[in-house]
Amino acid sequence: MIERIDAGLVAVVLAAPLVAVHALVLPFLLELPLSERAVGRAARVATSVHLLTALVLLASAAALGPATADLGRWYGDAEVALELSFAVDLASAGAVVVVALVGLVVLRFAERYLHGDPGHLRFFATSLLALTCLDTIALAGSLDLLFAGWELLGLCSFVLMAYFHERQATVDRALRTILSYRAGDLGLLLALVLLHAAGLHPTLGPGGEALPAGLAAATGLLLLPTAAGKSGLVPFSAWLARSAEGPTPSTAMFYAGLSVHAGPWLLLRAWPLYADAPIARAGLVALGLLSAASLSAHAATRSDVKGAVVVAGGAQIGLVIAEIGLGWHTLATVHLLGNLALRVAQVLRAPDVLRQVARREALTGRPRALPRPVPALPWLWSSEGWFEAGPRLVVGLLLRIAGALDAGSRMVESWAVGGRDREDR
Amino acid sequence: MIWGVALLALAGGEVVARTRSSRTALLGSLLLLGALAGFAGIAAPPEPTVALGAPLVLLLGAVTLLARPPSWRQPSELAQLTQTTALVALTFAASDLATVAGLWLVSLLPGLRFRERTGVSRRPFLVLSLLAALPVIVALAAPGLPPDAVWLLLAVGAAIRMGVPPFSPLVMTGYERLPLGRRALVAAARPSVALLLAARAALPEPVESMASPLQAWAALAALAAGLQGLAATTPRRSLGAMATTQAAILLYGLVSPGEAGVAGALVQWAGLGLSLVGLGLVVEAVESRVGRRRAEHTRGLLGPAPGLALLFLLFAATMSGFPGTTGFAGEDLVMQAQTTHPLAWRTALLGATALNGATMLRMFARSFLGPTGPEAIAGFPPVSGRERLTLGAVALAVATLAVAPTLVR
Repeated sequence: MIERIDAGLVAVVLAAPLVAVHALVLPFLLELPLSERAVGRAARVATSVHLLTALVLLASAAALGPATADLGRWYGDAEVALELSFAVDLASAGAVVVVALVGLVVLRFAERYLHGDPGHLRFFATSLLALTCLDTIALAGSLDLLFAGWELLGLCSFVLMAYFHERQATVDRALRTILSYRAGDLGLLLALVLLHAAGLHPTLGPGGEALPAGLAAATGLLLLPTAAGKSGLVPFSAWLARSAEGPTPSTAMFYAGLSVHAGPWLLLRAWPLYADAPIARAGLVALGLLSAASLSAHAATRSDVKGAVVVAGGAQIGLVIAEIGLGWHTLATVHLLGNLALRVAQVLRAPDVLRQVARREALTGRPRALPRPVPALPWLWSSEGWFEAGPRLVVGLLLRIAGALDAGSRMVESWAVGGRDREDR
Repeated sequence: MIWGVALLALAGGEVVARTRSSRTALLGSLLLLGALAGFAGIAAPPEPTVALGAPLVLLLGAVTLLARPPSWRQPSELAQLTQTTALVALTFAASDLATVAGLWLVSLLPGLRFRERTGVSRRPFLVLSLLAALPVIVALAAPGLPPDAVWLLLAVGAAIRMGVPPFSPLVMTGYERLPLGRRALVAAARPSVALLLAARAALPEPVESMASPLQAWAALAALAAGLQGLAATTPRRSLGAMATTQAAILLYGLVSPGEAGVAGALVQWAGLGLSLVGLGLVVEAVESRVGRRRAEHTRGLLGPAPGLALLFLLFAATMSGFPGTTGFAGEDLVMQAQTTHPLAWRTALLGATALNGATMLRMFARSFLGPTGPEAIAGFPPVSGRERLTLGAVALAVATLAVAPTLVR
């Protein structure tokens, strides 16, 4: 009985934003686009239902204890399959409540903030789809299912970051960001390959079982770049400040709030898998501290409010990851929630910062200068300098190989068409 | 029975080729495909190679025929497409190896009708057909060949026809130079899938023994094609690189021992076919508006054509295996296929899929994002009813298979 109720609730949690996405996109494809008001109303209904169901799910988890919600099999057979199996416990249900709450607040904010903007519908549809992805990440009962939500969230991030698509620089930065994501995600994919090759399909959450020593260390270490990629930690931190290129609501929801915190969430949920591997835990602490130091210095150099807030938030995420590595999970959870709430609020208030300063001056009667960026010292630490060198080297090498392969292919093609290389127009 | 239908399809195609009006030719082609769909539904063998194979190929063919702008519909070209579609659909409706292999060979013939034009040489197709057909003919005709050799020859022939590297340059010329809808259909239908499935059923033991070298070839070929995609600078070339990567992944699943790889390959085939035709139609829609030369450098189409951008993203995400799509299900099943060298080949496939995703995103960003030239906005007519119908049909099929990927089998 418990499982049936949880499965229904999980289905509604996942479906609420997804139904709204379809309600927005289908009329658009049929060239019957909805008005801004209708889009806002649809988003409000969806996010309200989402939050209410998430609260009921949390109450259910608190009252009845952890449970597994099975929504069936997406594909495959008894041997190899992707089961839509979700782990409902206090942590995962709590995470869904946080996702729903931030979604509701930020989309309500966006209704006015993006009023009259040509990309209004695109923003709401993509953000709602991203909420379903975040729910999947929060509730996934297996690494495979988590990966599905994880990858699709990356695609949504790309669309949102390239929101102002008329600017070429913005598009290039969005592209670099998603390529960073995908490079990091290779770690999770390789971990899955290792686990499947060993015949293991471990579950996530409190019910997760420990892996054999070598596999645990490998899994833990492979999850590091994945978490670092999504959270903008070293060596992928260059994209973090660039994420402020998108509209303020998407920066608040994803790059200050939910998406960047998915990295520590993955490490927390997968903890039972690598808890007995000291090398993986040491890796977490090292990555976390290095990122915290680098991003703190980086944040001090930022001259834009949104960029500074997002990068400073990233520094705190580094500390959270170090705390996870040390096994201080309660502290890490409180730290994560506090950082998330603070950064979302700061970014949402960022467009208003000058007015806030003026109001404070009027109240206190004292002029107050905005903090200035620190000019010189942090370059040494800045992740855009040292830490990007490695990925740049790899990308450069890949592009050289790709160029050589393409040149070889073109030679054969030229021979095949008999040297007639003009194209049919 | 099936050979009789094949002959009727060829004869019907000849009638279509001789009509004078393109509208009559289109009607004749659609009627022919409709009749075949009826045959596949009613009179086909009780156990076809793939349950949804023939209907899916016929749907792809009908959509490609309908999507062509009226000025591009020459009766001879429509006839060629119709005959190819019909014969490929029949390979999926047949069940015994000899019939499937025979139809596989015959389905190469309509391509010979293809007329040369400036810059569009017939030579790559002839070379590819010859290279692909030779091993299959030897496998079928040479007496006393051990089953291992027969399987190897059939697999090599099928792989060459799919354009798996190092044979990809021969299909890449098609992606660069031919009308894209036609090229996409020919690549999407893939009768080689039916051939390899029929061979697996007829020769179960060689599949196990020859899996390792064939899987190694497929995995390395996928990685090479994925890398090549990084160097592509035009939508057509990017599409070609992505399609050849997927062809290699498909081969990996089809030659793997065990059922997971085959199940994955079938899901992969369906998703790849639909998305390839969908992408071909989107690129063709853009080319028909701005001209082919300019389409290679056009940017910022999200503003004037947001619907096309959305469909492009859907099809491209399916093709590169993003979660929530048929491509993801297919790739996941293929990667979990049995192999004697799990880590090496699976890692190569992982790299290939990651590179494919990067190519797809670059292709989207290059064509649809960025500053829009004023001429592109002014001269970009809205999507027509014909395009909406055909793209909508493909998108609906993609969405249906994404929800229930196992329908294909």
